[in-house]
Amino acid sequence: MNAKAAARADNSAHGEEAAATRARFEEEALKHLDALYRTALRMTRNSSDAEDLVQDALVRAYRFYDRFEPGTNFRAWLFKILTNTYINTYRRKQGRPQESSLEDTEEFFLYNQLNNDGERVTDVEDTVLDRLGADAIQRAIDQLPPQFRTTVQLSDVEGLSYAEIAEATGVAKGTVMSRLFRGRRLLQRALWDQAQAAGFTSGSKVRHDGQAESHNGTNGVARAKAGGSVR
Amino acid sequence: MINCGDCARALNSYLDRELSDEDIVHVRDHLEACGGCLHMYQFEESVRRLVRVRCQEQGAPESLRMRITMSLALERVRQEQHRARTPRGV
Repeated sequence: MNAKAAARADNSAHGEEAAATRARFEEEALKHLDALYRTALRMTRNSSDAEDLVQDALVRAYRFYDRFEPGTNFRAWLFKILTNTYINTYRRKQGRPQESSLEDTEEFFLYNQLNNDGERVTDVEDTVLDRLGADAIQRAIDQLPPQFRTTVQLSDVEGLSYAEIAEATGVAKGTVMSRLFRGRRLLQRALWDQAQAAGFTSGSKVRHDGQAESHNGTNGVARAKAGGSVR
Repeated sequence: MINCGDCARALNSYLDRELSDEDIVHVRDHLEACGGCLHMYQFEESVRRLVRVRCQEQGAPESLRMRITMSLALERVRQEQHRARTPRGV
């Protein structure tokens, strides 16, 4: 074989290999598309930027695919590229994040709100919170300050482990844990606020403005007191 | 046996499946013995489920999937052109 033919053969072998690589990347990456898009939506808070962000991140991931170490966590690696792309491109564009007006609250806030005076609720689906649709729950997540928002999304919606979130967001595992701890407290408060804002209060186990909504007067007074003490 | 305070502190990590095997046993033993903590555990689990299930209803639009397939194909063409222009063996 002369040199030209060898180069051609080499080129076509490379072409086939590249095609196989792209197919493999695409197949693996698209499995995570829904999760990447949902997370991008929480980062950018609008669908047009979220779509652009996911596209940019996946093209970048494809470009650097040869740097991905097989056997390590592909999902965490993709989320890491998503996070970096967001920070480098979109966050700047969006300017300073608005301050969150969410009040911090105690742990197990919802449990404490919904379980008192002998009321026993073991499932939030038996409460007014079950009436919160996907939109309202996403609005609640969107109210969290950015670093808590992404961490809570990756954990509570996408099911990433602490180690995966640490890699994806570029912080230590301990930081992930403290962000989750605080982020979930804030989320419970935000979910509660969403239910209140939607007026989901009647005929339920839910208090409103410290007023008991009860069919039982005596019970109502006790509940109103309990309502005052958590504020 | 751990007490209720320890159990409450460990509850989120337990739900996250991030406790050591030893700590999992501690929490499990406590939940079996303590109705109040079991109740709180079930409630917290249901909050997690509500958030996860409702939010996962949303997926990426089909148009995005197509856009990405196209931009990956374009990116490959770009890489090949780059390779073709780059002198080999240097």
